Amino acid sequence: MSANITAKAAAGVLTLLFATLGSGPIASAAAQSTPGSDTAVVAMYEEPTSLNPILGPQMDFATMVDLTMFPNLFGVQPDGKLTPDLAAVVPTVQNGGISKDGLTYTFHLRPHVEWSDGQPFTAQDVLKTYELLVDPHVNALTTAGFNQVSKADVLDPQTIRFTLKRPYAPFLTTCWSAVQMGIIPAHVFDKVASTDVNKAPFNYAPSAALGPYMFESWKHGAAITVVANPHYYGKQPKLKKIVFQIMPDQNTILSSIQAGSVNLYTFVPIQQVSTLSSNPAVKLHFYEQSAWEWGQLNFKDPVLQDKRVREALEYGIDRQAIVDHVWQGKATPTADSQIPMYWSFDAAIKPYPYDPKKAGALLDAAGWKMGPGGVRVKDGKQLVLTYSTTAGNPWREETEQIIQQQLGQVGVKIDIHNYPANIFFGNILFHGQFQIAEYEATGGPDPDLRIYRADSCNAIPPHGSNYGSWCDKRIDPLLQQEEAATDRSERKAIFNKISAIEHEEMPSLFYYSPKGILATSHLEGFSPNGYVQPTWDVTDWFIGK
Amino acid sequence: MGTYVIRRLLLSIPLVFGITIVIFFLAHHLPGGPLAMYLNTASVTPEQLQHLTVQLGLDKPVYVQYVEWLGKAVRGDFGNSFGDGRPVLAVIGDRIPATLELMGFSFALSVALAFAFGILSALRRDSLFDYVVTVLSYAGMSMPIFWLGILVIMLFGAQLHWLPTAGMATAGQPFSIVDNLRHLILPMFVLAAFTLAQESRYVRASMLEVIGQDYIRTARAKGLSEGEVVLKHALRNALIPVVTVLTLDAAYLLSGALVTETVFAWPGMGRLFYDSLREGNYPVVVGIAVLVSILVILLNILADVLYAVLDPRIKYN
Repeated sequence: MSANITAKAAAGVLTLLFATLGSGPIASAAAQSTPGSDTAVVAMYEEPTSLNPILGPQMDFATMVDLTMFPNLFGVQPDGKLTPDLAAVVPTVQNGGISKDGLTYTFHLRPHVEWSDGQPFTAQDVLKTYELLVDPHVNALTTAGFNQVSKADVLDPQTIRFTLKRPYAPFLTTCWSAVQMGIIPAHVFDKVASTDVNKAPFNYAPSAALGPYMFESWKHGAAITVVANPHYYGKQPKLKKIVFQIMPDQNTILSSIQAGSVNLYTFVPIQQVSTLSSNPAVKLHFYEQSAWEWGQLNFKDPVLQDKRVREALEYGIDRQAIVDHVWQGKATPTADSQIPMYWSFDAAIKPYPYDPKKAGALLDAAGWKMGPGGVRVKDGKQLVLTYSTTAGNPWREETEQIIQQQLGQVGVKIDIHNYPANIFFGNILFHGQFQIAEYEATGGPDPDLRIYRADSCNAIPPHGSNYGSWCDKRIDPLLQQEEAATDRSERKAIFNKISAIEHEEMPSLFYYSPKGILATSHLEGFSPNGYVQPTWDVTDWFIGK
Repeated sequence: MGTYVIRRLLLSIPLVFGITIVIFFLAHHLPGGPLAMYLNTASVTPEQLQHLTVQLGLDKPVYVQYVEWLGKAVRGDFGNSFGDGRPVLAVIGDRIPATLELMGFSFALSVALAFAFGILSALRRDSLFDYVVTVLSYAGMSMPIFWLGILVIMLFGAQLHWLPTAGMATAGQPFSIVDNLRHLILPMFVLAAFTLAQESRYVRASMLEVIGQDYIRTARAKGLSEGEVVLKHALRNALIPVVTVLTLDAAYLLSGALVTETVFAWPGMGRLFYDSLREGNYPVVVGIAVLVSILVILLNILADVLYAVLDPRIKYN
């Protein structure tokens, strides 16, 4: 007879709970997308900090959302070619849009384009976008290229001319293509003091858009929703709404796309590929992207200053083994910082082959003799190198272990010290507190920017991201020549010379360029683009079977 | 009692003040910082970083930044988020309802079940029921939340399709209470699992101690019904140590909510705190830390007040 009441109460609570849980299947399937639905759900594992396309920091997911609302003057095709978007034509020297000396760029804008609030789109919008980007009070997404402008003149409502301080060939792609940012409305920002731009309501609730979609809502921490923009100049998108749902855990996204409640999953980690490929409702997309993984070498370190040691490291690493084991073959070994998808790529420069014997001979020649425990020694000092990367990345950790094991065989001991991403980039790399630092470099549609930032003697921190402090006097004159050349084939020849120097001097250990991986479920009309975010062709998307 | 509470509240003011100093300086000395997100981007120029440092006020010494912050904070202005520039209190305010919903339901669930399981276990000590509850409790305490979370998402969401996998509402659908509650079920259970396991152990232990006492035998001898004996005489006395654990758990739920909110994509404050830490968004980090500290202080005062309510022998004069 003991405790009958409590027993009953507990049983009651339990029954109630299981009843709630059990009622699930009856009301299920609501979360699943149905064919012909007018809404697509895109999963994002990081939340954009703002939706103003000209504000930093640059985040892939912010660009992904912005691209649906804020086009730029030029779109970028999957082959890297520019196409007119808000501009009516792509300027060239031939059509008179670019002056022969490469100093003036005249943009003719597409006529009869309206913002989603009905205001006309004019050259003033382009001018305002430029002015705010170079304003010191604005947390600009980028000033690269814009800082080369000496003068901007609005010639008429449909024409704007930029005069540069010096010829700068990447001007179109780096500043005015869909890669990073879009045009913002002058009629909104004329009323905002430049000191208040960082706090403008437009940043979290954009009141005007030019793209196929316009802003509907941002439920912070949950989702950003955009709806079709009836004022869009181009063809109307097939989907009425796109919901960018924020799901910080990638395992949750994995379950959600399997459950059918997510239509697009971007930046899929390689270790989830086998699970996803076993699900018939999920389609995987692999594509070339402008990113490559490398191990930056620190030239402030006396051991690594010896070219023979760097060469030995190159020969001591089996790139193909990493690509096969870690990337399941979904990556391409690289020889320098030009990757195969770039127009500036030189196929004649091949990655260093795996040759441990040669690596050993080079180390012998450099005075590093095999010592006790299989570790080479010189002047009583062991050849131990610290290897760092971002912590918590399963594929980077696997890569490190392979490299550690391979270099161990040639007598180089690798000590692994990983750091959380913000510490790795903010402290370790920036302050040069590493010997070998592995990370991914991403380029734009134009190879110039990344090369300058990584290779120029003028880009050693704090002036740039040449974290290894490598300085080869041949690089900067070549970069200047390349920027002054307006012809692509001329530029390619110069880039190839830079590649040859990189390959010969080894400022970094070049590993591979990983393929981009995306997963879609019921999303049709979608095609990836290695240069821009996957929302670039959003008007063609629809929900299929 | 009234004076006691007022005195405690007044004493908390210097405490909160001290906490703000510690939090502010800690936040500003975390490695990484707000500029780290800009550094691995090819298109970021050095002059941009220079401008940004000035815009965010980071060019001034930290103590100057602190004094400026404090001057505004006492007037209720916690500054603006480094991200989209919204006022910090608006940023936090957006996320409080989601956290309160998850924490509130989860707390209520864990307390209700903990009492039911704890009392029954104590009354039927060494029975099969007791053993099962004991085993489950240890399992609940030792299971990491993120693992349990992924497990139930895979099972009930991806495999069985009974419940939604993530978020607090179906994407692209108008808000409905039923839809919201369906989204709540899995994170609520997962978040409750740990506290439930722990609390039921405390209730059991506390009850065991009490039911052996003489006054329980007296109560039974008076001919009171078993329900009255257990609920009125035993439980009330057993509650005192349990209250301490419960109020501490309320604070724990805030941190446990961080993981649960991440796994279930629940748009609450724990995740906001984590994201802000990662981005070096100092104003939001400091804002949340200060608010949570105040909450913990208030909960502690509440616990002390509850002791006096439960046990007439405890008096604050």
